[in-house]
This record gives sequence, structure tokens and C-alpha cells, in this order.
Amino acid sequence: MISFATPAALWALVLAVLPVVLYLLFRLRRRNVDWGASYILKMTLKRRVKESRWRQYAVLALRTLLLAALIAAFALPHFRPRDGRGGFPRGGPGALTRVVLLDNSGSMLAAWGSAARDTEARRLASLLLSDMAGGDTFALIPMAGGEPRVFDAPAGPERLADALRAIPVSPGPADPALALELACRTFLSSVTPNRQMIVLSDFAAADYPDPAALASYAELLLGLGVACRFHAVSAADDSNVSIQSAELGTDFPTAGQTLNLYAGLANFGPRPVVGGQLQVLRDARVIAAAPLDLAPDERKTLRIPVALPHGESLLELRIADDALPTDNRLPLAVSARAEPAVLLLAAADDAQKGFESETEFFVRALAGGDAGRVNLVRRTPAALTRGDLAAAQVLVVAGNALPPAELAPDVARWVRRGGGALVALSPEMDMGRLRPLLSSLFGVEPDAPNVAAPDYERFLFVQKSAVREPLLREFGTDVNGDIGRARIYNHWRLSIPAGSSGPETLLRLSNGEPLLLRARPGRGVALLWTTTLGGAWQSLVVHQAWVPLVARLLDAAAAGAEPPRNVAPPQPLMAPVSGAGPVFLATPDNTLVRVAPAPVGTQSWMRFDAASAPGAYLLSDADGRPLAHFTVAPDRRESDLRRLDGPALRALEQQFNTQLTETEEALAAQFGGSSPLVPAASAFALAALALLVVEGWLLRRWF
Amino acid sequence: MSPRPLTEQLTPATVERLRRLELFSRLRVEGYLKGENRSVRQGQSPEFLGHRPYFAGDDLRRIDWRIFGRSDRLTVKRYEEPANLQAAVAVDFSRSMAFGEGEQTKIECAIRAAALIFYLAWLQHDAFSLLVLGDRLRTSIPPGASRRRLMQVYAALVSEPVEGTTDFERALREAAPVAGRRALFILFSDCMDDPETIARALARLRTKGTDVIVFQVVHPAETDLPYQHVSRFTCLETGAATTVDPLDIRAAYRREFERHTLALRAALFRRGMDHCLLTVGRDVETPLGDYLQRRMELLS
Repeated sequence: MISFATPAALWALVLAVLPVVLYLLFRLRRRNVDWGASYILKMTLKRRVKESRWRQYAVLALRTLLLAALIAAFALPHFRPRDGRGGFPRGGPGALTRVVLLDNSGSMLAAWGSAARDTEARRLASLLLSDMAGGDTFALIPMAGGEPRVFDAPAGPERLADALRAIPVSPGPADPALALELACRTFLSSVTPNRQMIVLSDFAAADYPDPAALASYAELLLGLGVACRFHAVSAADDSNVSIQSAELGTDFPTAGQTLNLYAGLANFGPRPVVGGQLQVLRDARVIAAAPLDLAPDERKTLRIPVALPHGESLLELRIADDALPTDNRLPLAVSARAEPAVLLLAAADDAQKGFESETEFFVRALAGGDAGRVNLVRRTPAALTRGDLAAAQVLVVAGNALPPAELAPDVARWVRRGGGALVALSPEMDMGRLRPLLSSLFGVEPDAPNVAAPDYERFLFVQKSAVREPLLREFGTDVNGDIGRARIYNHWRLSIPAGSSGPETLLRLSNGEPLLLRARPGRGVALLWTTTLGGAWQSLVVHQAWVPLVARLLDAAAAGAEPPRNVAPPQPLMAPVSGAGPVFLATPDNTLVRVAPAPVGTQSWMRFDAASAPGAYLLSDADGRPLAHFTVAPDRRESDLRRLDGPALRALEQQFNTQLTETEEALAAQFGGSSPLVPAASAFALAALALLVVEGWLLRRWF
Repeated sequence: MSPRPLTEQLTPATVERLRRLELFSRLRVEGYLKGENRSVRQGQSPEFLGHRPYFAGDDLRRIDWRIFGRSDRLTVKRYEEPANLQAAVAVDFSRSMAFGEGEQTKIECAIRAAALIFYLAWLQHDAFSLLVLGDRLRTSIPPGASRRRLMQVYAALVSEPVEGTTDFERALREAAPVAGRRALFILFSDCMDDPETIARALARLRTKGTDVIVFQVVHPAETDLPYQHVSRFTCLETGAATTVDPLDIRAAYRREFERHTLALRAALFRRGMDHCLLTVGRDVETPLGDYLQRRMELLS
């Protein structure tokens, strides 16, 4: 087998066709001669034409081979023995214990030359493990999951190949501490005089977050007389652009609405990314795109508006493939539904209150913008029925229009089973009904309004900087209007009972008290708005942000209707299915899993807990009809391909008393012997010289 | 009525060429003969046979003025013509003879050499005739020994177009009756044909007791093939083209040319004919020596 130290020089092999090109060129650019001795020419060619042509071709072939041999010589070729026995020096007489730590983390899938880092590392591992003699102990330890293998007897090429094939590439980072511990145990149980440990890794910073923590292993290994060798299958300036995350700006994507898709991107490298594009595909067609411009070492989030039809969609976000193609694509499952059915509880006389109506501006917000297609049912508390609850997806309680006491348990149960509730407070509240509602849904106690009577010269505002919730990210950036310009004149203060963790705060006021809280009782979502839904206590109702905020709140509340489609391990995949028959889940690693749904109440639910492989999953019924898409988020920690920085690397080298190598020759030299590779550059050069001599002789003889 | 002067029948360019050719011939021949210490006029003195009336066109030098003075009648003296040579000069005017550049072409070389032969023959009072060959006998000027005849053949040499192909078989077959008996037949050609074919065609002339000398006119480029680049060689006669790399075939081409020349010489020698190479750009007086030598042999 032959390899090249500078394979880039082989691109010059294109020049080897130069003799052929010149030959054709000269034939094309022939001169014209009017000839008077055609008889003689004809007689000459009659005798010589065939043999002349073959001689020409032979000389052309010789010249092409000559150039090719010369160019190959510059590429520094090396021959390797056929049986792969590389012959890395043993380092001394006597039996040898050699432990190879193989980095099989996700970053090893990055390109390295014409193959991948992982390919090169496994090739070197095979070489290192193939030169075993009787009495030796060789071991192969994967650094990112997988079974270590110990060889007590010489392993043939097939057994070695099997052992290497059995080590998968893990999507996550390596665990060098665990691998070194296993290596230490191997050496502790070894009695051979010679001991070597070779780490084949890309030394990506993500895999070695704390090099200093490995010092104890280094001390132990050096104390055991182990010669440590670190070999890097990476370049110091490797870079990578990655799609880190993707999510919709709503938990309740409505069909036909413009949805904001947020794509998290990262450029791990010293070079800017200019002129590229992030594409969003559905059914292999591009439905949206955004320009990709990233500065060196920049992370940013792109907002891409998309509109999706009703039903299941599996989107794919894509950028141009680079050194690590696995992180240049990211699937996203979306189930776009019809507009939610909203049940609005309001006082009977609310509609007549004009500007002070609790629901006037809320209903207007529903009528405007993309939220204009909401199914809205109005009820007074007295008229509320269990049937109304069953038909609704979101219950909006406007101010003191609280559900009657006899229906309070039904409301709580309805929310726990996936319903969504948006409870807004008002100046006058029936504490008798409010307390149980807030306690059952949010786990909080209402205190009192912040001020007894609002002073319209004194007000609080919404803290934009405190917006962390992805659902509301647009309101932190003015995308949907400046929420921070609204005035909050009054609000209800709340208290959290001891021992309760309380709901999460999504929006805060400028005095730090919550304005919007979210709780997740059961499968449902409950939102608490601590000021009025109308304009009595807040001016947000007349701001640009009010309409999109209402739409976002309804989306957030309706999200409990169905479990999320895009999860991260170890979250389960869950979906309601019709009927009790089995359903089938196709996983990213091309297996088909049969899942039996379980009845919950009046519905059947599919639940799959073993979704660990990142990628897209497809749920189908027994007839193969697709029911739902899911995605499991990949581990993107390995997207940063950059090596440990200089100081950290040097510290590691010092700890282990070694020097990082980057070429096979340098690694072999560290073992104190010659390279297992036989340089062949001089052979190629001699061959070129011989061809030159033969060509000259043939030219003299034939022409 | 006197015939129109020859110069009036030709274009000015041709007249100029003709005059240059005549001058060239005179200077070269006389220079050659001086160098060879030969007399301009060779041959026996003519015997007086009597008088006859003068006719227009007779040489005025032959008029017997004594008789005119006595009888007021113009008479010319009659002499017995000496037994001199008849030289038939055949020149190949096929298109292949146009190879070369400027005045260094094969045809120009052949014309000059033929012109020298004609001039020497005229000096020797030998009869001479011109045969223009191509794919047939294109033109023939019958034997004569006068200066007028000399000018006629010169005019034919300079005005005849170089065109067409060569067919030795046919041309020489048609030339044979015209060539006459007991003559010296001189052929100027590049001989670009099978040597045996040429020799067989010429052998017909030998049966009439005619001596044959073949001057093979060659151009140095045709013998050496000095070209360095791939070239498309187009035949001047047929237009057929072949693209070759001269470097590839040069050695073989030269061998073939030499083989052809040797084969031609052997074929001619076998049939009692002479062969001589006449190279363009080199000494054109060479044929003169051969002519005189042969003349002497024939007349002795």
C-alpha cells in the first residue's frame, strides 16, 4: 500500500497529461507545405505509417509516465507492507504492554485530508495493535463510549478490524478521564518491562474541558514507567460552522399563520463566514432562506418567518456542508393545527364598560393580525358548562369572571389533562374563588393590589432585559413592538407558600415583581397575568406589541394540548393516537419499533422512552400512514473542532512528559526507531530518470 | 511580309525573362567554353554547292554580292550542311516542378539548364528542338538551328505555364516520333514516378538510335525534409494532403529518396541511358559538359 506525506502535491498530476496536450496542440497547429515530392512521401509513409504511429504513442506514454513519476516523487510517497504490520518500534527488549486510547467522539467525524479524523485514527490504531508478539498485552480503549478490548495473543487483521468496527462514533464528547482510568488499570495489572500508551485524538477543546484534572492519571502512568504518546489527527486551525438549535417561536403553531423559526448558529473558527445561506426545507423544497454571515467565533440566532399548511411537517434546516457535515443539518417537526378554540369568561356587563371593559381590547386583539382566525366562545361564569370546557383548548378568565365554585375542580382537571388557561386579574376579585383557583393552577396566593388606587402619573414598565423565555423572545428585541414602552399602573402582588417551588416568571415588572407567570399542572399550561386584561391598569392594550402578545399568550396556553414534537434526551416521545392498535416508530438509525398505545381517559396515547438517537422519527399506523413527526435534538457539543489552545496543550504535554505529534513519521520517531513506512520518493525519482534515458534512446533509434 | 517579331507576341514580363535568359545563357556558355579551352564553333567546314535565288528571310550574309553586282540579281550561296547533332530537349512542366521559392524552383533550374543546352547547340550549329511534357506532350517546337529558332524555344520556356500532372508513359510515347532519329534526347524532370515506368518509357527512344540523358532535378528541401514541426503536406499536382511529423519520418524519408534515385539510375543504366542529378541552387553548367561529351561521342 502506498501513501503520500504531501498528498496535495498529487494535484500536479494533472500536468502529466501535458505531453498529450502538446502533441494534440502541435497536430492542430500544423503548418501547410505545398510539396513536390509526394511520390517519395507516399512511399515512405506506406512503409512506416503504422509503426510510426505506435512509436509516437509509446514515446508519449513514456513522457506521461515520466512526468507522473516526477510529480509523485514530490508528493513524498511511502510504501507500507501489505499485511499492515507497520512495525512501530517496541522501545526495548522484552514483552510489551501497549494501550491505545482511541477518540471516538463526535468531532472525530470531521474531515481529515481526503477521509475523516476517525478513519485516520482507526488506521493508526490498527497499525499500532498489529505488531504484537508472544507475551505482549495490547489494549484498545475507546474514549467516548464502547467496550474496551484487551488482546492477550497476537490479533490477526480480521480480528483487529472487527474490534475497531465494534467501536461506534459517539455523538457526544470524549471522556478522557475515564479512558485514562481504564488505561491505568490495564498497566497496573501488567508485568511487562515495556509499557506504552498512545492517545489517538483530535484533542478538541470540548473533549478536554479541564486538562488539569488529568494530572493525577499522568502521575500514576509515569510512575508505572509508561511512555505516553499523544498523536493529533487534527490541524491547529480547524474550523466549523454548525446549526446548533432550531425552534419555533410558538408552542402552538397555527396553520397558515406566519411563524418565526429561530435557528441558532455558531462559527467555531478564526475565519468569517460570508455569502452563505441558511435554508429551510419541507419535503425537499426550500420554503425559506436567510443569509448566513458570521464573524469569527460568533454565535447568533437567525429569525426566519415561515408559513406551514395544516398537519404534520418535517422541516430541515440546512447550510453548506463543511468539515463536519453532521452538524450542518437539523430536522424540526411541526404539527400545524387549526386555530385554537378559545372560551372567554367575562362578566355579563363587561361589554358595556367601553374602555374599562376587561375583554374589549383582548377581543380586538383576537380580531386583528394573524390571531384573527380564533374560534371564540363567550360565556358568563354562570353559563359555563362542562361541555364548554371539553370543546375549548384555551380558557381565558377575564378579571373577576371566575369559574363558579362547583366547576373549579373541573377546570383544574381539564387543565391537567392538557387544557390551557390564561387568568387575568382585575381591581375587584372574589377572593373566595380566586384563592383556590390560583392555588390549584399556580401554587401561589394572591396578596393584594400593589396600590390601592392607581396613580396615572406613577407606573411601572415591563423589564425587556429580563425576557429569557424563548416564547417571548421577540418582545425583548422590539421585533413585535416595544413592550417596554407600556405603562403598568397597578398589579396584584403574589406570595408563594413555603415548600412550594412556584410557577416560572416569564415577564417581570420594573420593580422585579412578576407580570406574567406560567405553571404546568399535568399536561396543561396555565398563565397568570397579574394585571388587567383591559386598559384599567395597563396601557399595553394600545401598544403595537399587544396584538402579537395576545397571540403568543394563547399559543403558550394551547401548547398543553399536545406533547412537544421536538425533544431532547431523555424526554419521551408522546402523541395521542386513535384506536388501540399498534403503531410503528421509524428511528434515525433505520429501525422500526412497534409501540402499543395505552389508554388514558378517553384517548389512546403512544409513549416511547428510548429515543436517544438524535434525528427525525416518524410515527405511522399499522397501514403505514404517517401520523406524526418527532425529532430528538443532537448533541452539538462536538461541533467545536478546534484543538486545545497552546497553553492548555503544552500543559498536557508537560503532565504526561510527551510531545504532541501530527505525522505518522514523527510518532514512529518518538518510539526511537524508524518509521514503519518506507520512503519511496527516491525510487520514483530514479524511475523518472530511467524513463528519461529510455525515451532519449528510443528517440535516437526510432526518429 | 516579314513575320512579326517574336517579342511582339509575348507579354512584357515574358520578354524581359526571355532577354535575361538569353543573356544568362550566352555568358554562362561562353564562360564555360573559355574555361574548358574549347572553340566556340566545332564541326567541319561546309562545301560550296552552287547558287540559288534569294528568298525573303535568307541570311543576308549568304548573298553573293559579286553576282548581284554583275547581274543585278540576288542569289545566295549553297553549302553542304555539316553532319551535326540534333538535340531534343524535353522539359517537365508539371506542377510538381514548381516546388521551391522565388527563382530557386525546380522548373527555373530546368529552364536555365535547358537554355544553356539550347545556346550551346546553336553555337555548334546543331539542330535543337523543345518538347514540353506534362500529362502528355503539351508543346513541341520542331528542330532548327537558327537564331530565330533559339528565340522561339526560349520564348516557349519562359511562357509555358507550370501546371497539371505528370504521365511519363503517355508524354514520352507522344514525344518519341517528334524526337527524331540519331538525336540526343535530354530530359529535365523531377522524375516523381516509378523508376521502371520512366525507364521503360524512355527506352522507346533508344530503339531509334537516340541517346538519352536524364537530368533529375531535385530541390534540397525535397531530399532533406528539413521541417521541424508537424506539417500538412499537400501534393502540388493532385492536391492530396497528408499530415505528418517530419521528425518522425525524416530518416526514413531520406532513405526512401535515396533508394528512389538509385533505382532510377539503375533502371536507366540498364537500358543504356545516362542519369545525372541536378540540384536546385547549385551548378547549372553541369549538363553542358555532359552534352559536349556526348556530342563528341555521337559524331565520332
